Amino acid sequence: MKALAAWGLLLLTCIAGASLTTAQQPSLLLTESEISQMLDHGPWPEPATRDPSNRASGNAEAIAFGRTLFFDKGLSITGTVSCATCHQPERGWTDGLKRGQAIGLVDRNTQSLLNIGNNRWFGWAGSSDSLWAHSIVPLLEPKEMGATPAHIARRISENPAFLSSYKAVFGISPNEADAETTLVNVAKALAAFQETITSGRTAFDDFRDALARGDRTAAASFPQDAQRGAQLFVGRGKCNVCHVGPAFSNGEFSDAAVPYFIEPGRVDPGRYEGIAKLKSSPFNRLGKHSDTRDEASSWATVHVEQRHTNFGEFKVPSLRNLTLTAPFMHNGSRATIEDVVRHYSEINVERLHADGERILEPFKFSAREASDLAAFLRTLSPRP
Amino acid sequence: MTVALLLTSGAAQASCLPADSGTHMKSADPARFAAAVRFNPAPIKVGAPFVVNLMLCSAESAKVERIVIDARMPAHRHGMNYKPEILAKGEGSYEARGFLFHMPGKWEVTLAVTEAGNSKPHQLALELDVR
Repeated sequence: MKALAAWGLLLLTCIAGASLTTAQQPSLLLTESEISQMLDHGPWPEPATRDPSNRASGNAEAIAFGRTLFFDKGLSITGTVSCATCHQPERGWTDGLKRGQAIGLVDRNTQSLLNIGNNRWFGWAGSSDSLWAHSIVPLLEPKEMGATPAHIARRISENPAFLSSYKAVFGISPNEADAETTLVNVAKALAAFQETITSGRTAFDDFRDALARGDRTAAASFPQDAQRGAQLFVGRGKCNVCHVGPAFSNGEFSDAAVPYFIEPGRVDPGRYEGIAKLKSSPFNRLGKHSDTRDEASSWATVHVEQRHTNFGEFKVPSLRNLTLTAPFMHNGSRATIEDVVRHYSEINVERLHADGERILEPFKFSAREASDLAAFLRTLSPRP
Repeated sequence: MTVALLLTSGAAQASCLPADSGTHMKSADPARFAAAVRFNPAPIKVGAPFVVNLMLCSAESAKVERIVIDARMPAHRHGMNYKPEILAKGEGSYEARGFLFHMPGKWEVTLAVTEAGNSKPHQLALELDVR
């Protein structure tokens, strides 16, 4: 009997040992179909592109001038806030607040500027079709920097360094009689700088590139929980329906069942209002301030059409750099990555304004699935 | 990102189309109207604009009065975020601009051709699986 027990103990020890060895061996969990879908999210970084509607785009002097302007509080009407008040480099170019706080409390969460240059639409509602046009918005918005075109033109004229840079970049002097042109040029310099704000490679990018070159051993070293999360991302979670491509965003707009009341009695119409603002803006790509008449530059502005389903839609954000850019959603209502996963796990489809669209549903993730998905999302940010 | 063509029925009857006119659309009445499309750039990429070059013909010499082209995701019950515009290039050739598929999945390009003296348009469609 004792001998049998000893054999049993030995057998158990062997089995346990074998299991331990297996558990320690990293393995590639993804199917060929899942691998194929992972490849769509790279390579990273994307090639830098210039904005043809902005003649300062990619110009080194304009970038340097824009960088200086970005941190200048004198551009605000109160002299107390700059672009960097809300877009703080050390906070992923956002502010860590639910809603932006400049001269006043802003209605929406401050979006990160990381990789902003490759967008088609700008702002949570896409009210601008270029980065320079969108840079005008906070300059003039009373709750943000509250300036006027005349104030901007004066600020440039009265600062010798600004004046010199302005002339060097744009070949003219700022003119208070044509303050709108000065405002646009300042915004174009700001945009030229912001186009250089990019994020680097991540653990996911190494994983994706290992898959691309067929190096299954290297790919298998991607954490197992993140691999399971990746499977959920392209599988039951259907996250890659909207969060597509290297930036993990289709650059468009969606109703994610996030409440659109800014406060009781005040609604944020989202994309519905954004399209109306875009179409009526004198600063859109069809206007006189655009530096190109090329149809390829303005096709989206020409063809985008306001529909009732746009009500309550907001920009599909990039999922890169989430560890730097909390809180999340257009109103900053989700504090952590786990809160976002929980939102989609328990989503209230009754809140969806767009009727008929059937993409989102309560995914009912288990605790482990939610943890795995969060682990995957963290790999889309730079390593600590 | 690739696009696969799922439905090309109607091709056999679409004899009025030149041999190299592109991918044939499914037509409710191929003898009345047949159409074929090419995409530029191809393959279609999710999130990237593209142009549709269309060749339309009628074996019965029906006169075209109006053409409307669009695209939708039947399973999601929504269309594109953009309204395409179609321009006649002559001899049955058309160019449609303003296309962008903002999600991967099954899309359907739809063509409604109204002929002179008939208010009910002929429907043509092409189903695409876009990644």
